[in-house]
Amino acid sequence: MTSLLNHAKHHEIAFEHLLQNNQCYGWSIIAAFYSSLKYIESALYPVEIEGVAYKSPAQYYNNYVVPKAKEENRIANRHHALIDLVSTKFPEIIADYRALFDMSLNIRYNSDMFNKQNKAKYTDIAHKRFRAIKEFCEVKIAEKTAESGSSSPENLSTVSEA
Amino acid sequence: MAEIIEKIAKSTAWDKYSNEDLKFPADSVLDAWETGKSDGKKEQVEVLKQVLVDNVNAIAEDVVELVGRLNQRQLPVTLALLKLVGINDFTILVGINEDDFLSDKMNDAYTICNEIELSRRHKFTLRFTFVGDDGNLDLDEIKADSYLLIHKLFNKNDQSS
Repeated sequence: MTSLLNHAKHHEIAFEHLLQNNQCYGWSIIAAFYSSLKYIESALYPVEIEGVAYKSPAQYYNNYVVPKAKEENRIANRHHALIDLVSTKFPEIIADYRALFDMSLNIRYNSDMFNKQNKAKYTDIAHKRFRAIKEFCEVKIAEKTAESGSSSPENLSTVSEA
Repeated sequence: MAEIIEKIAKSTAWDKYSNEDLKFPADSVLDAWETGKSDGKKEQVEVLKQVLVDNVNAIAEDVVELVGRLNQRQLPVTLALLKLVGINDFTILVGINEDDFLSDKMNDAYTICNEIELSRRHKFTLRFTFVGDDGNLDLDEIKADSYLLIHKLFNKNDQSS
């Protein structure tokens, strides 16, 4: 969780820097998205899915998402896998997270993105959604930290690191 | 590739969005079909093609539902484009007026698209992604990202409707 949280804070510093200096608003949205992603992962893991505990995002993806996708003849995608987890585990912030995901992914389709008169609107909404996600995750992380003294439930199997 | 795109454009509510013979992610799947053809597995190939067309038809209905529900919330849709990621995997790019896209009204949009996506999950994977439409979307860039089919509701060149 600490490493994920360090990543979240790293991206957050970049986001705040670009925001305060009114620079590269497209990158500021992308930094806000990646910081949110890491805050969410920090709050989620270890996560329990169908009676199995996964310690990290990679472990969940490699041992649950990919085999399931193969079984169903579908294509596995890490971003979509996280969206599905947020949707079921943290529905309170799914709209904020998907909005940031879409903004960061699709901003390049706006052909006048460098000359936009309403850049502030983009960064304002990105900041608002980022704050909502961060504050939500900080509460969840505090709860997990408080519980960390207790061991895993006895009936919960775990996946060992590859 | 061109063959299946033509089939979809003729038999569903989706039109060709680009006349260029562009490669896209489902190519690997479709290449496998062609291999199947050469191996004499024509029946299997035809079944897979029909599965794809059936899925694309179902998604066209989902778009109509999404557009209707968003209209009820004063979130008019400007564009709906389809990317074939695989036989069972699809992405829809949905254009929303930029001012609305940057408002809290989008929370409802994500709740609705989440519901529709989940309702299809037992059969195929459907993902909606939204873009703020300021009237200056780079359509060539979008086509290059494999959004090759446009819903008839938004095809301004459609002569049939």
